[in-house]
Amino acid sequence: MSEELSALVDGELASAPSRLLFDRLRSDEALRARWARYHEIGDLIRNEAPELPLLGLAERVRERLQDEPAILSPQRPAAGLPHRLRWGQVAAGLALAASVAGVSVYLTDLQPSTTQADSPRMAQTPTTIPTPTQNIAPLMPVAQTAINPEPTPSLGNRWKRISQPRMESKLNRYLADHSEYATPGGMVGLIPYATLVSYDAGR
Amino acid sequence: MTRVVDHPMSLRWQTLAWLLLGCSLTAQANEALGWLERMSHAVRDLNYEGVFVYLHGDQLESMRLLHGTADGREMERLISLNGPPREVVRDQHSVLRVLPEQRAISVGWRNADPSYHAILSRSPEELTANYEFALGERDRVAGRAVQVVVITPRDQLRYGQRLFLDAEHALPLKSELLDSDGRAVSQLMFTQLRVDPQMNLDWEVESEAEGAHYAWNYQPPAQSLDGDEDACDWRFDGLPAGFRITVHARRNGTEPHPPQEHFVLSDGLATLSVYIEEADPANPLAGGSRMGPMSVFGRVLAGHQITVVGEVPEETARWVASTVRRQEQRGAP
Repeated sequence: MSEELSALVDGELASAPSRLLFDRLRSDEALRARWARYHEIGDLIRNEAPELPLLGLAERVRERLQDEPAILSPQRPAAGLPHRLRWGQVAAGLALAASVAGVSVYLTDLQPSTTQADSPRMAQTPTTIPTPTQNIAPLMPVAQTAINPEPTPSLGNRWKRISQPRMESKLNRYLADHSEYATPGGMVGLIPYATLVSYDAGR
Repeated sequence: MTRVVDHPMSLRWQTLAWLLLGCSLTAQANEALGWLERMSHAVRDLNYEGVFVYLHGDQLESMRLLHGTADGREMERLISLNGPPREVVRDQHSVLRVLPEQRAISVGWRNADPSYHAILSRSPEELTANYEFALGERDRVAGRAVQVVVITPRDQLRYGQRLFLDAEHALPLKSELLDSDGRAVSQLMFTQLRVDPQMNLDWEVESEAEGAHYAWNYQPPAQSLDGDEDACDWRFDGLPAGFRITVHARRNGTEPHPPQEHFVLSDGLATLSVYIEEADPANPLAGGSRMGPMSVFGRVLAGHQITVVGEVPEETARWVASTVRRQEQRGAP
């Protein structure tokens, strides 16, 4: 089993991964953890993501959704420029937003707002709970030193300045991951993936 | 003396009036919550297929939604109808995102705890502490009669919502997410919907790229740490009213990513994620942004990157980020 997993991950498996392997992956947490380590989403960042020949994609997808959710079959780790290029495209899609600025991400004024402290509800907040202003004020020096050292910076530009692919990927990964936790019936939770799918539209 | 007699009478009337008003509000809130409860079952249990438009910011999207059961499992498929082809297929355990143009498929685990996904898992008392629930007018959406349910937050830390629920099935045919000024942050509306328990739904993912290579991306499942206080290096001091931790999980580190702590906070309707991992000094994330109804706020604390993501106003994401504290190292001499 272990050899098969290694072969699978190394792309040295001659035939399709066995049913037994997937069964084990599903039930064996340690094995799954190992699998996960190999295929952590960081592959995408490192441009070393696996690829899989598309043979009977629809059937395989359906089978796995029904029988082996979330267990996938990677092959040889990609390497070299062509793969990098392809994965550049993949990253653009999987990351849900190729450019933070290009998919309707609205940059915001990071200055602490005092408006909410004026709300009646805020006034009812127990005194043991810090007010937003108390909390937020210490953040600003951190933000300024960490992100935008220029004097009187345009605070709204910070996300643009962080828009390196790596940071974008991280942010978008968070956004994608979070969608899976949105409360159904809650805010945007009715169809949480609508927001997720929509992110790709601006590519 | 007369006053002494009259005053109690006046008080009695006032009390009665307030009681009636109070009962009326409670009854209406209860009725609205009843509609939401029905909606929660309808969304999960019914077989339906429809097309909806989704508007957020200046982005207008059209999508097709299929929902039903396959072999007893709840399934959902969401397909974009404009722009680059994109679709998401999910069941109870996994989420599959397919991007045919990029020849890419990614898979993530879903939170499998059914109680977490239960709608309105909070008591009415908890919910009404932070939101008002009321019935709105009767209207018509997608050619069907709807009952409007209005959810109004009691502060500016969460969005409000107007839900247009199908009068027959209680499915949400339209929803508006509203900011504190009553402006729609996002709107979603079905233009066509078919509900039929006998309907055969198509779960086949498009395979027009048959023969080409698809790249697969697998996101490992996170390890739940719920209830394991010793496993927690972080705490939240002074969260906004009503928010509490509903999920605490950890992903093991894998180069180049450091280990990641993930907290999900919810007030019963709004949900926030807080991700904590070792900060990258070259690329700290400090500040806020927004994408449709989603807000993001990042800060760096004790060498760690804290990032809050959620469907809340930006101020709330910022507030939550600011409540994160590093726990004292346990077991230290």
